[in-house]
Amino acid sequence: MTAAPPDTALLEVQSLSLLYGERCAVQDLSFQVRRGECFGLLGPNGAGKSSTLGCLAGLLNTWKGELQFGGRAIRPADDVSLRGKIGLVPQDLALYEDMTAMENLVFFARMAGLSKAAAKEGADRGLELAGLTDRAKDRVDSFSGGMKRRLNLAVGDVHQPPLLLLDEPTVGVDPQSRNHIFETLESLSRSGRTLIYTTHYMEEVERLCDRILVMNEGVALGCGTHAELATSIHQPNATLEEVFLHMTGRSLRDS
Amino acid sequence: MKLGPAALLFARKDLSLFFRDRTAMLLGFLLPATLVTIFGYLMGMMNSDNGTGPMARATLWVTDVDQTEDSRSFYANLRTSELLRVRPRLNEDGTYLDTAFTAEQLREKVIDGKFDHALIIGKGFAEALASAEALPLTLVRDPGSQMEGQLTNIAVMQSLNASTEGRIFTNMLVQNLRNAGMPDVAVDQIRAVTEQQRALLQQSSGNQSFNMMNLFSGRGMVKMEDHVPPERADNVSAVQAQAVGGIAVMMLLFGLTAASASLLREREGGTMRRLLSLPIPPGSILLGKALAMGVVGLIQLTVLFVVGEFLFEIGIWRDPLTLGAIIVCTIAAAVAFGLLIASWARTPKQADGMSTLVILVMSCLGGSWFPLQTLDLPMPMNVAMHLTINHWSVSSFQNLFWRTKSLADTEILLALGVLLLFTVLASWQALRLFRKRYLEIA
Repeated sequence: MTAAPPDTALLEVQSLSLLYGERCAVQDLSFQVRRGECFGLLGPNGAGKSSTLGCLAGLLNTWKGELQFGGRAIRPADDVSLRGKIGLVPQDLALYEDMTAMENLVFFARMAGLSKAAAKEGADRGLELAGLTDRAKDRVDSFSGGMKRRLNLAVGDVHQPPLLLLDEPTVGVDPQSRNHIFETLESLSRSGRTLIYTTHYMEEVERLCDRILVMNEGVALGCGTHAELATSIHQPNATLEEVFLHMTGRSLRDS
Repeated sequence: MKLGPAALLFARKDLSLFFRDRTAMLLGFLLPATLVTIFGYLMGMMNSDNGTGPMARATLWVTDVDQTEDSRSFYANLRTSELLRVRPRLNEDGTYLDTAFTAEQLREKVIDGKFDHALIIGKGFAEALASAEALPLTLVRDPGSQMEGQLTNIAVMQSLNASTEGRIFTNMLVQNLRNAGMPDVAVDQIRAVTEQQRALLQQSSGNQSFNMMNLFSGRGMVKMEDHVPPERADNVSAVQAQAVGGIAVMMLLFGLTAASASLLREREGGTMRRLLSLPIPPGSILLGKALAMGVVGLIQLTVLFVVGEFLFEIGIWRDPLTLGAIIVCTIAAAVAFGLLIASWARTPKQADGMSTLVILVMSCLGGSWFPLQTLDLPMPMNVAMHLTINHWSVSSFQNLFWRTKSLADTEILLALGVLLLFTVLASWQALRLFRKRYLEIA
């Protein structure tokens, strides 16, 4: 989708493991994310995609392994300053419903450490990004699902972090809003921002992501471009869905 | 499906959901059962008249200046009263366990607000009793302690009656004579005499009405000497001061616990994940919540006390420093309690159920609903009372508003220390639970 990203790694994950009690959510996961690329985490429900993002975003502190951000070893949960460089767009609509769109953007920008003026500037940019400039002063609880999703994305990017983590950002939206979100992400990617995108929709990954990590039950099954993944299963012409089903199997995932 | 079967099916579904909901069960069964138990027990104590249970008691300091056989007999009868805690206490060998004060010292203690009631058995008690003259009995009291005052009056009259074998009442109690079987003719004559007395009293005291029952209240036998601390308004009663402080603390706990539930809504709404991913220390979220709750609590208490001042003149302007210190410590403890509940609970519903249960029980035991200081509580209940925020806070407000004590007073300092200790312990536990609930398994 974009020009080939620079080869330098912005994020390196080595042997990441995470336990929830006795259940292993992520197991010995290793991958690299290059600067400026859109990196897809693809997997069925319960594959460990959100848990992986939780570790990267500093939401969890019980993981094991090594993380390097910009060449520096990190432990996000303990390194508060680093978290300003990693933005999160959670799967849930993480917005204050009884505040306006502008208030939400300014609040989260200020919490991310921006000055009052920079926060206002970031909020204006976010409203434009979300296509909500004319609804800036409306309360979020008056918004449609699609509008909330777009604002959710804008809030995650309001402080313009170098790395943006997107956890299934298009869940439950109409085709128009979904397309708007795609265009927004493509625009961010073109401007050199690094994105990690989790989903279980093949067409989203095919449209947005430069490289893809296929996960299942917390384990990495393959990593590369669509063509590389197809070659790895000895079916060079396979669609991404065929690659995915080949790697993860056809049994139902109810966990 | 017809109306009946459909309704039954629907009811079955609702009942099934109700019994699955632990919070509904807690509020529906455990809370009422707990409150009924505590309420019933306390009411039983306050109204017990068969000697089987603890009763409401007033503390009465006594000094016997007369030191005669009659005065000692009266004093000994006072000690046996179930309505009083007579001080100073006696050891088994007859020596005093507490300091024995002189009449002037006792008067000073009441004037200073240290004691509510002191009875001085004056010189000439035995002679006056023998000659049916006015007894030199003086009850020095704070008239605002109405409940304790009534208990004291009744106990004094009972003891006088007991120690004089009824002689003291024989010329006054017409009704008792009739009940005792005196012929109607004689009773009518006595009534006529009493009517004359009433007329005479009305003449001598303007329009003041004469109430026969006052003869039984002790006012006829005991000279009342009332002392209200000069800083306190005359019309404030102990019950009013207790009620204002008690309700204020209970409502503060409810208000702040409800506010603290916003922590749970942050988690349920997803904003907590976003906040925790931002470059802020996680503790700042708890601290921010605490500050917001503190401001809400401050406004709430200010409004309640201003209303209390406007309606009852409880005296909020008398010592702003002490009032401020009590308010701050109370709010701190209430905020810590709210955060503890919010950090412990997994859902807002769970927090609502638990906080309602704990706050109502604390309010009941801690003196927010009625003054428990007049009761001889059994040890477990006494301990439970001292574990409540309400007890320490309400007693501090009572000491400030009613007894006009200040920060220099050890009772207030101790209460504030306990509230701060609770704040520290509860905050520490809340932070620990917050980290566990929100960071390890976010």
